[in-house]
Amino acid sequence: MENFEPVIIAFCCHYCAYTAADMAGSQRLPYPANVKIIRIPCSGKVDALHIIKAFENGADGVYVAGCLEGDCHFKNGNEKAARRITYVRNYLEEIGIESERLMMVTMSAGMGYRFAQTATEITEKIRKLGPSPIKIAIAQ
Amino acid sequence: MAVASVIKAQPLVDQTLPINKNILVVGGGISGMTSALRLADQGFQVYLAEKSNELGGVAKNIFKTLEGDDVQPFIAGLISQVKEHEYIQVITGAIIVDHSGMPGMFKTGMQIGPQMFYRQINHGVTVLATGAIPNPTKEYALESCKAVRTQLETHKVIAKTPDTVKEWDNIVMIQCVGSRTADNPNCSRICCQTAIKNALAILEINPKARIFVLYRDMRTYGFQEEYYQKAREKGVIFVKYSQDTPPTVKPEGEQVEVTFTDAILGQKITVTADSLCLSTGLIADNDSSEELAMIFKLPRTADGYFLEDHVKLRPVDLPVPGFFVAGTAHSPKLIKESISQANAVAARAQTMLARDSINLGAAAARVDSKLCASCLICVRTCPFDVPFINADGYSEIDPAKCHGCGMCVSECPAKAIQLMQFEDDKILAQLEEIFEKVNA
Ligand SMILES: Cc1cc2nc3c(=O)[nH]c(=O)nc-3n(C[C@H](O)[C@H](O)[C@H](O)COP(=O)(O)OP(=O)(O)OC[C@H]3O[C@@H](n4cnc5c(N)ncnc54)[C@H](O)[C@@H]3O)c2cc1C
Repeated sequence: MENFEPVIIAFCCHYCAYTAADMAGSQRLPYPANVKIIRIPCSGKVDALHIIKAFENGADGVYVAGCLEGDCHFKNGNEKAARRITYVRNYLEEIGIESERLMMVTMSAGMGYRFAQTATEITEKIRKLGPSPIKIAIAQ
Repeated sequence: MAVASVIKAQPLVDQTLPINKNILVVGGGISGMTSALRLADQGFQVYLAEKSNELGGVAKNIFKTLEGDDVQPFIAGLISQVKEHEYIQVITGAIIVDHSGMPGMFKTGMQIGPQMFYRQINHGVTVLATGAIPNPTKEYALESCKAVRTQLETHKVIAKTPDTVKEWDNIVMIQCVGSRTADNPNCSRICCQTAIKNALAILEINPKARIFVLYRDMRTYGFQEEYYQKAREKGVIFVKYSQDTPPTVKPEGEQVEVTFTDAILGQKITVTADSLCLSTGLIADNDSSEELAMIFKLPRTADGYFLEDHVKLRPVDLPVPGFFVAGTAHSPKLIKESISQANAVAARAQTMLARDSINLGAAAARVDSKLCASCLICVRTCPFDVPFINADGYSEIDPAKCHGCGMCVSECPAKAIQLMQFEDDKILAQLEEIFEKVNA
């Protein structure tokens, strides 16, 4: 595990974070290639199953990016997502994965800078945490 | 990754809905009026809702463009055409208060006039043309000293009382006042050309006037460059200042002392100016745009302007089907740029209005009744109350009513619901593919 490059899955809501990623691109803001984006229609669509599968496959970190509080295109999907993330974090601790590896972040579609900054910060945080226990187990 | 997901794709059926061909235009400035006229000329009924008591917007304070065109006769012409048009209904004093419905069939409620009487309008297309406002910054003794004016006020003096301009010996203009700062990082786009427009007009009236333009960067884009050149030839002095060492201003009776550093001489210069013109630019009207963004569920940029669906591919569309944006509600723009965008909006809207139904894509949730346990979780989760338990005792989702968020899908304990286009197996296939590459 020297030269550890974390793999991070970002579930991005179409109405905010996914557009913000586009915005970051048009503003020529770089962000680490470690972050792999999966587009979803609303952060409330992210299933506990998707998150767990990502870790099972060897993700070192996962985050769900939804709209700012009160701004959800579908009323309250972001609140539902936040609650689900809290639930899955507890579950991760139970099975021996650090809950810090899973995060919920919020931003608006215009926040290209915030998107790039969040992606960079999360990558650095996960890099410090090191490879996920599952990834280490897969490697052995 | 994308390919892995496409492999799992299933045939989809687009949802279509009938479309109400009425148009609601919000904002009666140049952009709103232009879009309204273009669409009404095609025979569509337009409702033009304006917050204030009259049409015209910011451009009522602009007399000439850089190229020398007269703005006031143009606006007066627009206003009378709009008011007289058989297919345009102008509603002034209108405040948008609520909004519901779905693409193709929206209902927007507004309170009108001092009595605040409530009216609801049914429409299929919405054009947002709510503009921007002059930046209300108060820097450089703008409020306390009579010799200090905004460029807009200077423009008025030039147009209305040219004799005043004849008495000005020294004029200083400061660019980027309240723009490109930490508080407002946006460039107002119009100020460079406005300064040059006013400088040339001042020299026309008073050829002996000495004009200093203190700038951070001059951006006279496109053919405006010719006017910049002309201003230099006529002797307008352009001096660059840096954001860290802005000019300082001291009122001196009827005049004002402006001190700045000349980078070439490397020393401070003080000019006693008869008029100090501040290029204060424009900002989004945050109160207005925030409220509309909440009511219509539309995204805005960090500076408060409405954000288009895609900068290059869908530059006048907003993410909600049937919503468009024109003029300075979208970003700072010149009058002619606002007009171009308003025309683009009318053209885009007609591509929808030419049909009898609106195509909503296929992202709707579908229940597999074999798996459904009728637990009611989807019924409780849906933010729009779409799922119901049908006569057979299973959950049913009307695809025409479904907004396609997928919240019921993630909550369903039996995994009996799939959101078309975002099915679980497609998402999982993307995950597998990512790790196949990484773990290889
Ligand atoms: C200080 C300044 C100087 C300028 N100088 C120049 C120049 O020299 N040359 C040039 O070409 N252009 C100039 N412009 C730009 C020009 O004014 C704009 O391009 C043009 O006026 C934009 O028209 P609009 O219809 O998009 O917006 P506006 O003219 O701002 O009109 C918007 C309308 O919407 C209404 N409205 C706002 N909120 C609501 C709401 N919630 N509900 C209903 N109605 C609402 C407003 O009352 C207003 O009538 C300048 C702009 C400013 C601010």
